[in-house]
Amino acid sequence: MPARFARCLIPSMALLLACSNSGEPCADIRDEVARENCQFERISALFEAGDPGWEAALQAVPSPSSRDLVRLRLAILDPQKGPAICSAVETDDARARCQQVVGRPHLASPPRPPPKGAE
Amino acid sequence: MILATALLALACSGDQQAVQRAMAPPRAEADAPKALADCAALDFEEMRVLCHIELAAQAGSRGDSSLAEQACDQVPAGTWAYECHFRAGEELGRSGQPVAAIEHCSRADRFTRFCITHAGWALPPRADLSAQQPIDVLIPALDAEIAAIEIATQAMEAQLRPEAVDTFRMALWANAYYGTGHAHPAAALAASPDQQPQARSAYLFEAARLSWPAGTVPENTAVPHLVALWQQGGPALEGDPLPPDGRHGRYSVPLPVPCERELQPVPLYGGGRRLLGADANEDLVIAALEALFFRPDTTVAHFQPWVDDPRDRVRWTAARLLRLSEPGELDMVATLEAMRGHSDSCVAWHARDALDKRAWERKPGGPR
Repeated sequence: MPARFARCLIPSMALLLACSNSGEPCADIRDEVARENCQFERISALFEAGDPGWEAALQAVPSPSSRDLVRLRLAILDPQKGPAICSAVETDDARARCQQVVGRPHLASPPRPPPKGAE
Repeated sequence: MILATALLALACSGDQQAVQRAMAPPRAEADAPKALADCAALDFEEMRVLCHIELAAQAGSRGDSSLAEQACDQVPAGTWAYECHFRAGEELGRSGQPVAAIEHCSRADRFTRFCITHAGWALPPRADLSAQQPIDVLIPALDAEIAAIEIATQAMEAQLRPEAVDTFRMALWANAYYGTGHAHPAAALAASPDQQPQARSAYLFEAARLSWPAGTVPENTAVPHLVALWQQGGPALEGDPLPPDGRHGRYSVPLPVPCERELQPVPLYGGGRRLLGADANEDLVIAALEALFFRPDTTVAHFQPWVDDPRDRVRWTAARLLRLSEPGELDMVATLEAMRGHSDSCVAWHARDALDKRAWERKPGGPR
């Protein structure tokens, strides 16, 4: 029995190690929402700083749905870049949600300047 | 081993329930508190924003302004809150609720103008506001509808109000005539004075459509023909109606014409604009020229004689429509080169600008 258990456990542990060594620092967080938020915060910090490394960081996120969630959240954060970000989505659900950004070209227009005299 | 691998695959991809929930569209057909609660329960703020906006749009399309409002109230102030009211406004327009649409459009900040345009032109025709109704029924009904619209626009920025009211005046009158298969000027002639330009245009759009049914091209005397129909009070024209979603034509984008900067334009059916004539007769000719342009088969030759009309606004209208039309058998470059030397600087401006932009080379019948 112990030998049989070990036969199963050793490859499983190896695979688990491979899984957690994906290079994505948030991947080990077990709670889903915390993990997704961790990924988003890392990538959006790079994105907002204009660091082109945000795309490599995004590619290191293991799941296509999670990558698309980051893309959608970035598109909402910066609708002017929404069409470019949405053009890379990978899943049908995200493509449909992206229409709320891409299908609305006025969102890409810059906000109005404040009225004269306003602080 | 197979079980272990499957479990590990699951472990690698991680639990994705929150992501899947965030990607799913809201269901406004659920009861309102449930739909709002579903959006609010999403785990990611940005996805809650998209969910509430979609919910507001779905509510608007069902005429439920209150649910749309509640949904938009959940969106943080700024661009996405404006977008939420924009979506609600345009869908409320599409569902036939202009007043509720304007109330939302008024809160769409920098998108208000777009919202009004979309809501106005999506407004569906109503049998009780058709030009075939008895005049003593139609005119008070239109007056009441427009009065309610005027009141609703009070919440809007002052500079946007006149255009908003004019857009809805035009949409209501266009729905009364255009595409119905009937055109008699009696109802338009009875319109209240502040609705006359829109009523005139709406009648002429349908008269231009029915005078030359599909497959026939207007003759070069089309403008006097339409003017005479109006001035003689008939006869009634009859023809095939168009389904509401088939009521399209040739649209033009506004041009920054120097001579027209100080003139208040009249919004036209579908989003274009035309000049308002200095008097009713001048306005009738301008409206007839614009109605002919809306037909994609009207060529340059129909507008050319009017470029030399003694009335400024008729000349400017003709010059604009000429440059945006298909040349037909005319040499467009030669025609415009000749217009460059016109004594009216505004007509000459159109010729110069047209030679730069060459709109006649674009897809025939498409937007200009």
